[in-house]
Order: sequence, then C-alpha cells, then structure tokens
Amino acid sequence: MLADLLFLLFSSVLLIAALGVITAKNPMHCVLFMILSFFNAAGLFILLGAEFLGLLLVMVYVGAIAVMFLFIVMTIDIDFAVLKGKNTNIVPMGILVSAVLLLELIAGAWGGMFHTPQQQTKPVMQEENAQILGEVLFTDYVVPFQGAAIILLIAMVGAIVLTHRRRSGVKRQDITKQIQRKKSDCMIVTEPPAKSGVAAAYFVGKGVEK
Amino acid sequence: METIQLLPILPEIFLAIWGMLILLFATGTSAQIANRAMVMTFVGLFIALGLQWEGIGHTDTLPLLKVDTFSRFVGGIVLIGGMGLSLIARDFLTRHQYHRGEFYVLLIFCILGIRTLIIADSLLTLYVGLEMMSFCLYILAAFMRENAKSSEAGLKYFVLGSLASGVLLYGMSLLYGLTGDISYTGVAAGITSLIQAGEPLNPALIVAFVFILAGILFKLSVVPFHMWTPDVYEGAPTPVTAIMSTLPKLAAVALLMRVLLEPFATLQNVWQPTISLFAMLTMVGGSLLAIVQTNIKRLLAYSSIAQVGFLLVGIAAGTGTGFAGALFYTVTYIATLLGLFAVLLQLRKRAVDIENIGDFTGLGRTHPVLAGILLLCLFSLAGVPPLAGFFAKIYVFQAAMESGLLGLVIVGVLSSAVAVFYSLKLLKTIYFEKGEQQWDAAQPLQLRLVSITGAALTLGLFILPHPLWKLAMQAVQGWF
Amino acid sequence: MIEYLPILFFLGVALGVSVVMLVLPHIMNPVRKGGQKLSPYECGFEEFDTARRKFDVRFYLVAILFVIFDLEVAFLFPWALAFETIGWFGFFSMMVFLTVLTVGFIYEWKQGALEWE
Repeated sequence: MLADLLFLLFSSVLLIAALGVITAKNPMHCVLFMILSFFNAAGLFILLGAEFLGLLLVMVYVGAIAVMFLFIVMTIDIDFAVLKGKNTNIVPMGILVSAVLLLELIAGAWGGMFHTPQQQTKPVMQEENAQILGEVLFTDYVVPFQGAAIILLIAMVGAIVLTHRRRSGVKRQDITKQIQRKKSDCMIVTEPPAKSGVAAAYFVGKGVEK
Repeated sequence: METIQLLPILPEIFLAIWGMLILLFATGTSAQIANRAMVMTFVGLFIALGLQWEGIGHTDTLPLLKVDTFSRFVGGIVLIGGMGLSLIARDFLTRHQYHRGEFYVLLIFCILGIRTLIIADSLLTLYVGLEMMSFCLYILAAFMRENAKSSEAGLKYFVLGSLASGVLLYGMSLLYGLTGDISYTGVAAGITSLIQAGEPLNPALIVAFVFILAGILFKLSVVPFHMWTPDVYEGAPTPVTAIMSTLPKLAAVALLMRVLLEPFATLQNVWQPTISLFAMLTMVGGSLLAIVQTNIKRLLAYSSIAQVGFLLVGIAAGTGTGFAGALFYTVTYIATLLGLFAVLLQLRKRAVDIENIGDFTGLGRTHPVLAGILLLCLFSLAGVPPLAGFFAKIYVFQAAMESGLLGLVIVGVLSSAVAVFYSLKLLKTIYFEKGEQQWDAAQPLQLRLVSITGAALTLGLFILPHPLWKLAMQAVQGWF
Repeated sequence: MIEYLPILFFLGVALGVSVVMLVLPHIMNPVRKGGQKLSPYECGFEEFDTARRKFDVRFYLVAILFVIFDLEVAFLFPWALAFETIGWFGFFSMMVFLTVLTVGFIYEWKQGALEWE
C-alpha cells in the first residue's frame, strides 16, 4: 500500500519535473527540474529493489553531472529574451520523435518484452544488489570494466585538450625549479671597481654585454 | 574465472599501456615532444602488429571476447592503417600550432576501441569499444579548438553520435529484455527460440533490430543517416578527416558483419532486403550529391558515403564471397584514401591549405606526381580498370549477381559512372583550366612516403589482388 | 526495503522545514512592494549590466574532472561490498582500474589542469 502510494508520488513528480525541464524558460530552472527528476527516478529505482542504481543516480547524476550542467549554463552566453520566442518551431518534430519512441515501447511491451521468464529474474532482489553487482563486475565483466577505465581516461584527456590553456603572465610556483636553484645562479660576490657602480660588475660577472 | 588467458588480447593490452606511456612522457605543447609521440605511436602500432602474429590461425574465446581469424585480419588492417595515419598529421598540425602528443594518444586509444569492438562477443563489450572509438573521434574532430569550424564539427559529431549511441543502446536493451542475454550466442539462441515460439516476427524484436542497425549504420554514414558526414569532414582538421574516413569505417563494417551473422543470423531474410535497400540509397545519394560539391573534403565525404554503399552490396549478398568482397573493398578503400589524404595535405598555395576544387588549377604542371596520385586515387574510388577499386567493385557485384540482386548491381554500375564523371571534372580543372598556379614546393618526406605507398597499393592490388582476396576469404570462412 | 523508511521520514521532515521556512516570512513580515525595492541593487547605484555573465571555462574543466573521479568512486562501492568473494582477481582488476585513472591524474597534474592560476 505504502509502496504503491510512493510509486505514484515518485512517478508523477518525475513526469512533472521532466515536463518542467523542457518547458521552463530559464535554463537554470531547467537544470533544477532535472535534478528533481533525477531524485524521483532514484526513488523509483529504490522502490524496485535496485538500491545501488538509485544511490548511483543520486551520487553521480545529482552530485556531479547536475553540477556540471550548472557550470555549463553559467559558461555559455544565454540571452533570455532570444530564448523565449524560439522553441516553438521544433515542437512538432519533438512530438513526432516522442510518439515514435512511445510506439516502439508499446510494440516492445506487446511483444512480451516485460514478462520474460528467463535468466534475468534471478534472485537479485533478495540480497544486497551492490554486492551481487560487485561479484560479477570485477570478475566476469572485467573486460568492459577496464574498458570503462580507458574511456574515463579519454574523457580526461579530452577535457584538458579542449578546454585547458596555460595563461601567460601568471606567477606560478614551480617546485622543481625552486629546488634546483643554486647559490651560484642567483648570487654574485664581486668587488666593483671604484666609480663604475654595481650594475657594471653584475653584467661583467654574467657575461652579458651591457 | 580465476585465470584469464591474456595471450590473444596481448596487442590490446599493449596498446593500452603504450597509449598511457605516451600520455605520461610525450604530451605537452613542445614540438620536440610531439615528434617523440609520433615516433612512439608508429613504433607501438608496429609492435602491436607483431604481437598479433602469435595467435594467427586459431580462435580464442575469452570472457565476453572472441579473437578469431576475422578479428585478426581486420585488427591487422587497422594497425597498418593507423601507422600510415600517424605519419601524415605532423606537418598540418605543426603549421596550425596544434601539434601535441595528445593527438597520438587519442589515435592509439581510438585504434584500441576499434579492436575491442571487433573482438567483442557480447553487446556490452561492443558498446564499450564503440564508445572508446567514438569519444576519441569527437575530441579529435574538435582538436583545433580555436578554429570555429573544427569546434562546430566536434560538437555536431558529438551530439549526433551520442544520439546514435543512445539509439543503439535502446535497441540492445530491448534485445536483452527479449532474450535475457547479452552474449552473441545467447542472443542468437534467444531469437531462434522466439521465432520458433510462434508469431513469425515479434514486433519488439524488429524494433530492437532496427535500432541496433540504425546505430551502426549511423557510424557508417549510410544514406538516411549521413547528414553529419559532410559538415564534420569539412570542419575537422584534415588529418582527422583522414582518420574518420578510414579506420572507423572498417570498424563499422566489421561490426555490421559480426552483428548480422552472429546475433541476427536467424533474421537473414529480414536483414538482407534491408541492407539492399540501404546500399541502393547510399550509392545513388552519395554519388549524385558528390557532383555539386566545390570543396574537396566535402566531395570526399560524399564519395566515402557512396563507397560504403558499394561495400554494403557485398554484405547484402549474404554469401561468403560477398562478405569477403566487402572486406576487400574496405581495404582497398583505406589504402586509396590514405594516399589521397597524404596528397591533399601537401597542397598549399602561399602557405594556405587548398580545399576549393576551383583552386586546383595548374597542379598538373607544377606538381605532376601529386596530380597523378590524386587522380589515380579518385579513379580507383570510381572503379576504373587498371586500379584496385575495379577489382573491389567486381568482387562485390559478382557476389550480388550470384545472390540474384541484379537491380542492385545495375544501380551500382550507374553510380560508378557518376563517380567517373566527377573525377573527370577534377581532371579537367587540374590539367586544362587556367588560374593561379603558385603552388608551394616544400613537401615533407613522410607525406610523400604515405601518398606514394597509397598509390602503389592502389596499383598493386589491381595487379596482384589474390593474396589479399585469399586473406579476406579466410577471414570470413568461420561463418560460411 | 523497510530499512529505507527513515530516509523517507527524513525527506519528509526536510520538505516540511523548507516549506515552513519559505512560507513563514511571507506571513509574518510586512511586504511593501515598490519600484525601488524590486529593482536590482548594486551598492547604491544603478546596475552596470545583467548578472548573467559568462563564467570562465575553467569551472567546466574542474566539474568534468570531478565527474570522472566521482564515477571512479561509484565503482568502488560494489567492489568494497563484494571484496571477500571476488578474491585476488577482483582485487587486482580494481587495482588496474585505479592505475589507469592514476595515469590520468598524473597527466592532469603535469599539464597544470589542477592549478587555479
């Protein structure tokens, strides 16, 4: 009973939030609606017994990806006035695409996709499913797991290649340089001849022409 | 599960480690370091090729992976093509001040992704490999980040590519829901039992099949899914265009073969007409749209679309000779395109890269060798007799005839005629039209090397097609 | 599932508190709207331009690097839970995974992506 009520709560809020994502005028509100929909989806996962997926959704999507979205919204130049009138011409196309996807989902349901009495209904739900996942992910599925590591590495390289730049004129602490500095590099002990000044002695010592 | 046999995937492990070594020791903005990365990449790909020699001839099954003659053949071609590609980028990137080691790291990881994709024996490994390959390509397309066109190309490719990946993943999840398995053999068994269970064509199964096919055909830029190709090819830095139009194509062809013959083997009467239809659309669309192009990179994009149409003819035939023909076709295509891009990267007037076809005037007089190689490669793509492309087309058309696909062959021959037409148009510009002729002289050795090798292969595979044909036949033997 | 009930209660309480905190000031405080009161306030003078300024792309770099390491941590949870059953093989497969990401980390550090400048 409680589970049914919760399901209704989570799914209806999820749908409203998803609608908010695409209808809100202010991009910042879109992102906030998206966070709300993530939370509700996480609730649905937990209701279904897939607790690990639910927690992952909160941790990765709400914790990290939503933050990234917020940063992106802040980095790009958005003119609200221009945004407001613009979305209407893509609405029919969007409805068409959604309708096709919905029809396909119905076709899937009709074809018996949701009641396969096969392997996947193993007693995953009884135990802690994060543990069950761990038992196969690092052994049977080691190849895709290591592949994921490489993909994450590529993402890092990509982020740096595409967005990082070294600014010139910034005073930076270079530890190697600091340690390698010797007394002879930065100190001259010299006796300047009378009346020629310290500067002359300095340049003579460095072998630099004045 | 406690022990895992590593020997068959030694090249992949080596490539991963080597890529990370380059990342650690040869990245940064200094030119010298980037050169070191280039040399390391070339050497690394060569070593990986050597490591692959070890297991030739047998089939090794690992968890979620299957290394067989087919994957070794395709993987070997990918490594050789990668060696060529690693050489041609330096000059262009140095000129635009983007020559840095990361380019080569991404190239190596892209090749690693392709190899993972072809040895995949489950939908999960397939997806991981595909994403590994695509991520590298997205980043590479936007590599010249201060260039608006390059950034646009990267963004377009990324958005559309992710959409295609999403569609593919949706199809896979439907397939998993239907069959309860993600390994190729498990999926095939599940489909067989579904078909035996009663209704001849389960709608959910067809939806899953269509989604997976659409995802793969997007990567191959087959006609209804080709919109991204010209823009991305034009905007991306030329060496990256060279990468995108060669290796991922081979990967997608190999993947298509695997997926059609392993999980979807029982659906042959469904996929054969589907692929025939796409082949026809692609050949006609690619060839016709190529005529009106004025930018050489866009022209090559449409030409490469048409090429994919031709090799789909071989796959549509559905026989051993058809598949071997498609493989042969892809290999000659890669060799030709490598030569072609190596020439394009040498074409400059007053230190500006020439991409407009109208500006090719006078090339025949000042650079006869370059002009010769350029036309040789273009005519080979069109399938004109004394060149490798001729045999490639003969092989796929012959296989299609044997399978009774006469209409497809007629359309193919007509499209080839169109390809000859635009090659002739370019020939006219290069040799006979008057215009500015100040071509720059300096041509780096490695570019010359790659362009001459590509041209030599294009000629050589016409004179001696049999060794490669035999290898291609051996590669597909496991299925037929 | 019943062990998640406290979290539900917690969420309920959090929702209640935040609603009360939003609604209460509206009831208790005197609200006198006026043109001057509703206009943006910038140290006493007219505002120079809109607050929707473009931020530096460096923020994005930090965010994406954070996402990557966050995902890495996500893999660690099932590993820790299944630690006893997966044996040395599982242990080393995670070590390889971490090594790959450490390589990325060293690369980042070397490139100076972690410095704010």
